[in-house]
Amino acid sequence: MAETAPRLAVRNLTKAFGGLTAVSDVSLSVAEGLIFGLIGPNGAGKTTLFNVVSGLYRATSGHVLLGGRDITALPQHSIASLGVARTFQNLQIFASMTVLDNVMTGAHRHGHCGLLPTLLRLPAVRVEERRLREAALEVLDFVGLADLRDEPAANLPPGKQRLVEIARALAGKPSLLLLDEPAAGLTTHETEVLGELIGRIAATGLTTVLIEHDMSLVMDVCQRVAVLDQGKLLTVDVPSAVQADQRVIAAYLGEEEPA
Amino acid sequence: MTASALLQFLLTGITVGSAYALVALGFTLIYNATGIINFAQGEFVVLGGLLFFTFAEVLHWPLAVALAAAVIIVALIAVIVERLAIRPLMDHPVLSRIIITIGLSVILRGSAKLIWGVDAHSVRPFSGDASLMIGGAALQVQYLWVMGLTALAVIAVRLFFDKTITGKAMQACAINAEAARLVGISVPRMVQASFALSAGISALAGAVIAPVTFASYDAGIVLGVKGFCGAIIGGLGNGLGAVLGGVLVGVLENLGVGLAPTGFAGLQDAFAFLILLLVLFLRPQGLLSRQRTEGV
Amino acid sequence: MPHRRRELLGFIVAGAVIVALPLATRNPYLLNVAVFIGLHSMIAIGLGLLLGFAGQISLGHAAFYGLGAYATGILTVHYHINPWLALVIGAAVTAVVAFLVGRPTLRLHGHYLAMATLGFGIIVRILFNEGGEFTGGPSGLPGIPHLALGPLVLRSDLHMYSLIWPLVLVQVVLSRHLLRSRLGRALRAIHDSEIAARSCAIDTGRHKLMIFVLSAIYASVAGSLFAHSISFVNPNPFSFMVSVELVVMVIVGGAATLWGPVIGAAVLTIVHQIIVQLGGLYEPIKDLDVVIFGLILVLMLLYQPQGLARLRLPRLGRLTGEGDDG
Repeated sequence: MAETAPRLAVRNLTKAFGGLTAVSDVSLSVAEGLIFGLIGPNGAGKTTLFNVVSGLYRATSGHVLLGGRDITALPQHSIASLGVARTFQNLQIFASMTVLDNVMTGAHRHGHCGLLPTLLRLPAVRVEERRLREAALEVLDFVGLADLRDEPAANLPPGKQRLVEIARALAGKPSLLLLDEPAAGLTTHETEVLGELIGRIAATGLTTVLIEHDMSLVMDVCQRVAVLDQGKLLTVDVPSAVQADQRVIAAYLGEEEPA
Repeated sequence: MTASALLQFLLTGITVGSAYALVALGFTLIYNATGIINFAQGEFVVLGGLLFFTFAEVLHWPLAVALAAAVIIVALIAVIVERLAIRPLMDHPVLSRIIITIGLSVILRGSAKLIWGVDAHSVRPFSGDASLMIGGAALQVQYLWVMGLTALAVIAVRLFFDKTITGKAMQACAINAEAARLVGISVPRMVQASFALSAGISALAGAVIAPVTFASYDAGIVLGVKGFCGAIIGGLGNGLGAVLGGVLVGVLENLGVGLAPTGFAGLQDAFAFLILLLVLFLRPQGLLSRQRTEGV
Repeated sequence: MPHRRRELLGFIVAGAVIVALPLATRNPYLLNVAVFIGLHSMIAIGLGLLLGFAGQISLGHAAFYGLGAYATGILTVHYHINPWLALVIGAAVTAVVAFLVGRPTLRLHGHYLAMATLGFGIIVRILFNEGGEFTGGPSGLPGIPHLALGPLVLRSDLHMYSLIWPLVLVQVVLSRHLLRSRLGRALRAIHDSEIAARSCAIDTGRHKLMIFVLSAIYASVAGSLFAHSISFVNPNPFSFMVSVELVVMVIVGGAATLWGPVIGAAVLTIVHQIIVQLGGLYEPIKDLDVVIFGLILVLMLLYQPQGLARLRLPRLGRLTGEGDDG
C-alpha cells in the first residue's frame, strides 16, 4: 500500500480571491478506496477545495495530484475525463432532460463517436448508445431510481435530485468521487438512505471525498476525516479522534455543534 | 508617408476615437449593470446625431439647447425601451435579453430611416469651419469640440460614480446585485439609470461627431461595433479602459487607412472590424485589464 | 411512446405538404417563394441548433450563406469546376473559416461570438463589394451554371424545389439523430448547466464550436444552391439585416425544437413577401419591413419565447389525443 500513489494528493494548495484566502497551504492525501470526510465550519474552504480539485477554480499556488499525476493546470472537463466526478452543493441537474438522460450524460467520457457518424446514426453510434444506456440503467438501479428513469429530472423532489446527481457522477465510472454536502436539505429518512448508499459505494472500492455537515453521517461512513478551519487544515485523523479533538470543538464553537 | 500626414491621421483618429470612446463607455455601463451586450448601442449614437441635426439645422435652436435636447430625448427613449422590453425579461437568460436588444436596434434603425430618410445629413461645425495648422496638419476646431466634450463627459461620469449616492448605488449593483438589493437599493431603478446614462453619452457622441462624419440612419452598426471593440480592448466592464480602448480603435483605424496602399480606401470599415477580430482572438480579456476574477 | 408518435406525425405531415404543394399548384411565384423558404430553412435549422443548444448567437450567418454562394460562383465561373464539386469545396472553405472565427471566441465565457460574427459578416460583405472582377463587385457575378443531375439540368424552380425540400427533411432527420445521441445530450447539458456539463467531462467550448461549424456548413450549402438556382450572385442578399432575419426566423419558430426553424423560415419569408407585395401597391410600406421584423422579434421574446413550434393548440391536441407535452 505504501508504495502506490494516493488516489488524491493535495500539496501546499492555496486559493485566494483577491485579498481573501479561501484555502491556505493545505496538504492532504486520500488513499485508494477510502471514504474520506471533509468537515469544518461554514466558510472553512471545503467547497473551494473541491472546486480547485475538480478544475472549476485555478489554484493560486500548490498542486493537485490524481493517482500521482499532476492535474493542477488542467481544465475542468479534462480532469473529469480522467475520472474525477463530483456533485454540487446547490444542485446542478440538467433540468430539461429525463432522469435517464441526466445519468447517460454522466457517462459521456465513455463514448467516442464523432459528429458525422452521429448525424448519420451509423451502427457504431447505435452500439455506443445501447452501451451507455445499459450502463446508466445499471447505475439507476444501484441508487434506487430505476422506476423514475423517464421522469423529467426537474419534476423530482430535491431529495431525489440529489440521487440523480450522484447517479450521474457514478455513471462515468470515476476513480474519485467528490460529494459536496449530499445530505443538505434531506429528511432524516432520506439521509439514512443516503448513508446506506454511500456505504454501498464504499463497498465497490471507489475512493470518495465527502463534504458534510451532518456529523453522524460523517462519523458513520468515513474512515478518515480532515478538518478545515478558515482555509487551513486543522487535523486529519480517524473519526473518533477528530470528534475528541479540542481544536476541532473550538473551531466549531459559536458556529454549530458537531452533533 | 510624411510626418505631417501621419500627424493628420493621428488627429483624425483621436477625434473619431473620442466618439468611439463614449460608445465604449456606454456599452460598459449597461454591461456592468445587466451583463447584457447591448446591440442597440450604436442606434443611440445615430439617434443623437439625427436629433441634433433636426434641432440645430432644421429648427435652428441654439447649439447648447439642441445638444441637450438630443441627449435627453435619447436617454428617455432608452428608459422607455428598458421598461418595455428589457425589464420584463429580467428573469430570463442573458441570451434572450441580448437577442431582444438586437430586435430593438433593428426597430430603432428602421424608425430612423422612416423619419430621416436614407440620405446622410450634414451638420455645421459648432463654431465655424476654421482650422488650426499644427506641424503641417489641419486641426479643425470641431475636432477640439469633440475631444473636449468627450473629456468632460468622461470626467462627469467619473464624478457621478464617485461622488453621488446614485452613482455609488449603481456601482454596488454592478459588483453584486443581490447584496445591493439586501441593503435596500432598487436594482431595477439602477438598471434604468444605467440605460439612461449610457444612451445619453452615446447620443452626445453622435451629436458632436455629426459635423465631422454626417448623420445617417444606418451608421449605428458600424459605430456600435467600433465602440464595442474599444470596450473589449479596455477589458469589458472597465470604464476607463473602454475610453482608452475607443480612442485606440480610432487611431489604429485611421493610421491603418493612411498606411494602406491606395485603392484600399473602401476597406476602412473592414480594417476596424479586423482590429475587433484580432483583439477577440489574441487578447479577449482586453489589453488594459488584469484577468477578471473567476466565479461560479 | 406519445413523443415518438408525435415526431413521426411531424415527418408525415411535412412530407405530405412537400409532395402536395407542386401537385396543387404550378404557379411560378408560389414555387419560387417555396424555394426560398426551403433555403432559409436550411440555414435556420443549423442556427437553431446553435441558439437552442449551444446557447450562442451568430449575427454572421448571412456571410456564411454568401461564402457558399460566392465560392461556387467563383469556382464555376472563373475556374469551370463542376458545380457539385464547387458546392462541396465551398462548404469545406466555409467550415474552415467558421472554425477560425469560432475557436477563439467560443472558449470565452459570454457572448463574444455574437459581436465577432457581426464584425466578420460586415468584413465579408465589404470583400464581396470590393473584390473587383474576382467577385464582380457591387454589380455581381453573372453566368453561374445550373446544377445538373446527369442529363437533367436543374433550371426551373420546380427542379430546385424538388432538390431543396428533401434536403431540408434530411437535415431535420440529422438533427433528430444528433439530439438523441451522446453529443446531443452533451449540447443539452451545456444549455442547462455549463458547470455540470464540464464536470461530466464535456468540453463545452469544443461542442459549441462543432455546432457553430455545422451551422456554417448548412448555410454555405444553402448559399451554393441559391447561386446555382438564380445563376447570379451580388452582395445584397448577404447583408447584416439578413443575418438578423435568420435569427428572427429561429426565435419565431422555436430554437430548441426540430421543426421550429422551418416554421419560422416559412412565416418570416411569407411576411417578407406580403410586405413586398403591399409595397408594390403603396411604396412607403416597403420601408416598414425592418421595423416589422424587429417588432416580431421583440414581441416573440416577450410573449412566446419558446417559439411557435411550442405554441399549445389545445383543440388540436384533443383531436389527436395528445394533450400533454412529452
